[in-house]
Amino acid sequence: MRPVAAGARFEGVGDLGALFEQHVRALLRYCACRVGPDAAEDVVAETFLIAHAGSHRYDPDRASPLTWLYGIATNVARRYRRTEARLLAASARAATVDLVGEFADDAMARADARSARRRIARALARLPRRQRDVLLLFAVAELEYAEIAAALDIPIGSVQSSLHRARAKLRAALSPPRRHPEVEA
Amino acid sequence: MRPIDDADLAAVRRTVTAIAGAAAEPGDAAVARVRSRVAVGRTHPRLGHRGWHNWVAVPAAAATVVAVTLVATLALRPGTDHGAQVGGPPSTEAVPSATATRGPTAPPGNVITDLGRIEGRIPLAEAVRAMVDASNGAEQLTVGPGQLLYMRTDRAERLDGALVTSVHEMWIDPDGMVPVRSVIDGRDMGVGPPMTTGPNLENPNPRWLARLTTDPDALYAKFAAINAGVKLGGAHYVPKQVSYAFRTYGPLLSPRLRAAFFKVLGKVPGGMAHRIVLSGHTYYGFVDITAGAQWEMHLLCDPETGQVVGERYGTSDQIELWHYAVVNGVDETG
Repeated sequence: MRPVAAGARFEGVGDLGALFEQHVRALLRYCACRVGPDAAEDVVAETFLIAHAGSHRYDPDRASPLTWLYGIATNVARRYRRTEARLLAASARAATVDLVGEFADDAMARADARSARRRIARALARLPRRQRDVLLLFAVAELEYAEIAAALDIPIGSVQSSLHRARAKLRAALSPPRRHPEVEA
Repeated sequence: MRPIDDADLAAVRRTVTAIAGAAAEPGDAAVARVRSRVAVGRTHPRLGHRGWHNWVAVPAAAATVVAVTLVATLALRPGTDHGAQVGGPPSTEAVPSATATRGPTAPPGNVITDLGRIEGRIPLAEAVRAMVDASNGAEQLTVGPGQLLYMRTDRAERLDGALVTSVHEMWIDPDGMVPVRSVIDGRDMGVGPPMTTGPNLENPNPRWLARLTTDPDALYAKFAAINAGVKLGGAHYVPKQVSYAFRTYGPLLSPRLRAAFFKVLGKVPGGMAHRIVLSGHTYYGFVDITAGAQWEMHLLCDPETGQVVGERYGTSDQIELWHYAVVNGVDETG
């Protein structure tokens, strides 16, 4: 596989082939977390097709190839918002081992973990589109503010404010429900 | 305000990673499927997306159109035996010579006037039986030495009330079923010398197809084996693989093999079929349950001719119809 330097302008089929080999797994990972494994394959395939058709629009001074691809994938994934919503709803209903396993010896903690999972899934589903895009590019794709701004073609200030609002909602969702009402002084 | 920490991000990661399941770390099979889809432009056809910001605002139709130009670098599929490199001159297999022959034809003139409608469900077994019966009389194309398989895809989508159409033409080397020329809406996209592996169910050649088992159980196992080892199991992707096979080289199937392919569709757990009326003609639509039944993706099959004529995407109001011919060169359309 030919290495593709970050920021390198790619031209022609051969370079795109190298880009595919280098980034397909990262994109699949990100998209599978958003729309599930099946739809992720469609999203990623279309992402590369769009990248190929629009390679002349790629600006290496603005973003790395992977960041650019994340932006395209995020746009494509928006068309699967119903799938994403369905998966989040299913996730909210599920109480899977991965989240509760670490609390296996503590029934109360296990119940809290299930509850937290449901609340996080609901909160994600309720986030406005931009906030969810920004949050998942930050938390899952692990892009920096400037990279997210480049990927989504929005000002960096919008990235910061969107992320701030999204995280505030998540933290609110993560706050465990009180079992014993506290008496305020 | 509470101090910012990463607990919320970790919770998000756990939640969405659970959605991805094992696919959170994609395997070779998933990569191969994506590579294959890119190589033949097999993503869901969606024409003329609107509202994307400029630097990624490329109509998906154009993206689909250029798919074949990627064959040169993307067609090498891992997980299969690395065989002969394919490309350059078309097949020289010793099969009967034929002049340019018009092949199975989708609805008259391939002029799409409507996107079809579902007329109700049909028992899967009944649909399979009808297509198996029709396969006996189905026309089989034979590609002679130096000849190519010409495929014309007419796509239509309803956008803002109007029917938007696109035409994609491909000239396919039967040795590996890889495109050697691609033209979209009259625009020549060009392709490089393709590499491929095989022969196998994704990259067969006529000689290999002639020897392929017609036992439905064995064939089902072969289709399932393509994606063996993935989390959802290879069987999960059988409908998608069969659909891909019909699309790419369906007209070259012998009646017995064609019937066996339909029987494979009949073995898909949870499989279903609908009657779909298009331009006054009734087709049997096998649901691609891989995509999820809610997507209403149908493989359109003609119970009168035994041919698979295209695909329909109900939820997105799109349809594509396929037409094939055997031609003597990349300048001919049959």
